[in-house]
Amino acid sequence: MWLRNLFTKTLRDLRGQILGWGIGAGLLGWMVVFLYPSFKDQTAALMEMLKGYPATLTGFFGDFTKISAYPGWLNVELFSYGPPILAIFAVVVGTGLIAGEEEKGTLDLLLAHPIRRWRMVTDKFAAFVVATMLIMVLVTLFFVSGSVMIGETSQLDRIALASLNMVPITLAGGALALMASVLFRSRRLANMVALVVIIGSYFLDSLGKTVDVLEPYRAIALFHYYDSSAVLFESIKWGNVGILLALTAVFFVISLLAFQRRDIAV
Amino acid sequence: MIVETKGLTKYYGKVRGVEDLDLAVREGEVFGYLGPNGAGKTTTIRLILDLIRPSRGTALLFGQEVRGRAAELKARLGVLPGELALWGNLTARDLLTFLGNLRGGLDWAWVDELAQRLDLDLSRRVGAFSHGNKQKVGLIQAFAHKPDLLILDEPTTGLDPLIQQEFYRLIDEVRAEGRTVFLSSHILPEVDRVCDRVGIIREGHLVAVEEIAELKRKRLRQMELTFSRPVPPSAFDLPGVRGLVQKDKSLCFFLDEAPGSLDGVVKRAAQFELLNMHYEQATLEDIFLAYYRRQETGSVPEAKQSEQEGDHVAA
Repeated sequence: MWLRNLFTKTLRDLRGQILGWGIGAGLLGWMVVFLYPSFKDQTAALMEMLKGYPATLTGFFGDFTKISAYPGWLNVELFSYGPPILAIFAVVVGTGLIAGEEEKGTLDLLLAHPIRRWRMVTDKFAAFVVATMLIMVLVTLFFVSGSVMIGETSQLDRIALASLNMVPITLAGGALALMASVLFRSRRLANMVALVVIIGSYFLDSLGKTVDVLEPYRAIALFHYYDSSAVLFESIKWGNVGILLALTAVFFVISLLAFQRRDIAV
Repeated sequence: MIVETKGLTKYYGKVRGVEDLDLAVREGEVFGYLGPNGAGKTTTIRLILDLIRPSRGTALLFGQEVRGRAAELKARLGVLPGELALWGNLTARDLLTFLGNLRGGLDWAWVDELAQRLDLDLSRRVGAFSHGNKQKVGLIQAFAHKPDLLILDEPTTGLDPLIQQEFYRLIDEVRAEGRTVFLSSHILPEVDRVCDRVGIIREGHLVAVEEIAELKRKRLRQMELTFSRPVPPSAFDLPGVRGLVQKDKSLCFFLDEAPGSLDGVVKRAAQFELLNMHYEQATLEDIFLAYYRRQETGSVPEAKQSEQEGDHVAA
């Protein structure tokens, strides 16, 4: 059944990535979760220490003021770092979808069959979307089960939502990587460009919170639209989710159009 | 026409791919597309398949322009890409299943017969296959759905001679069923064996299209005349003589089938003191090479010194 079409085959090819990233990130999450009980006892001393730190530093490393509460701990230690790490998955898979087959040479064989180019990109990207969601589901299962194990059960819904909130930013990263790979043809160059843009936007947004000169430019950073604090402490900002999904769609459509007209490299 | 190109031209930046290519492959024929590596054979095929887009000109399949209609047209094609790449993590059977599904299913009885005839174990992982075995997978997927047109880029690379023969038989069967084959090759005997017509491509240009039978009829003769003293080449500026070069006391040239050409040469040669006359039927390969050299510097490398072949007359 996994060989029925290009979508299922791509998903099959991604099964290692799905399990690796899902379980890997999940275990990392467990570590953070299981550290919380011992950390909780020392929060008073930490808060005292943080008072002496400049706002720039605490701003950059996340919202430390709420760190003593369990969701605050997860936010600083997990949800603010999750997406930049998952960006590696998004970029590697995103550039691999088309450029990977192209560099291997299997694209010639695929396109010798009655399959339209736009359909090919769509099937492949759909597999990436599903893979991303499966990873986040795995990660969520780890986070929630870990929380239950240490007895932090009061905000499970928010924790689950915060985990799933990593999906849109990861999709935008993957679509950006796909677009780069279609436009630049070289997978290596595409990897580099996409990573620089994504990680750059992470730094731009984080620094922009406290560095005034950068503040006006935060709006162009992808990460400006990823706000884990809001999900954990207030409510999810659907506007942000919408913007990330819209960007995903824009990158995807540009990829479709660019791929439709360009030569397939040998 | 099953395959047709009109002024088909492709540049990669400033680099020439193919230029002003006018090809026409008829229904039911096996057309050989012959040329050395780098001549533009794969570029032509990739243009026909709409993998790359022409700088100008058009390609047609089954009388329809490929551009914008490639996916529908490909349903009727079986394609073996040049420098075939496969997904190594699948078994041959899984790989064929997947590709078959892209076409809406496979006739497994026929696929198994193909595998058996080409001597391929479908249960093994493709990644572990030798080059030749991968090529067999490529051939099977191209033949699997009995397409109206087979486009095969260097189909016999890596195949051992017995399997090559089986492949030739498969091509013969396709021809017998009235289906069409367009195959590229740089191996003349292969084209000689399986094709009805041949198109010769050189440096991106189609230099000749001939019936194989016609080409054989037109066989050039290769001649080497050795005299007792150097003879001016202009003395042999005769009808039918081409590509003449002088080497010491010898003159080497190709002689074509123009009426009276042999007679003229022999009579002219008789005016000098002839020591040796080497004369043989040119092989298809020589004819092919003659086409090529004609357009190069005009120099013809000396005739082969093979004494065992051809008529040898000592004077």
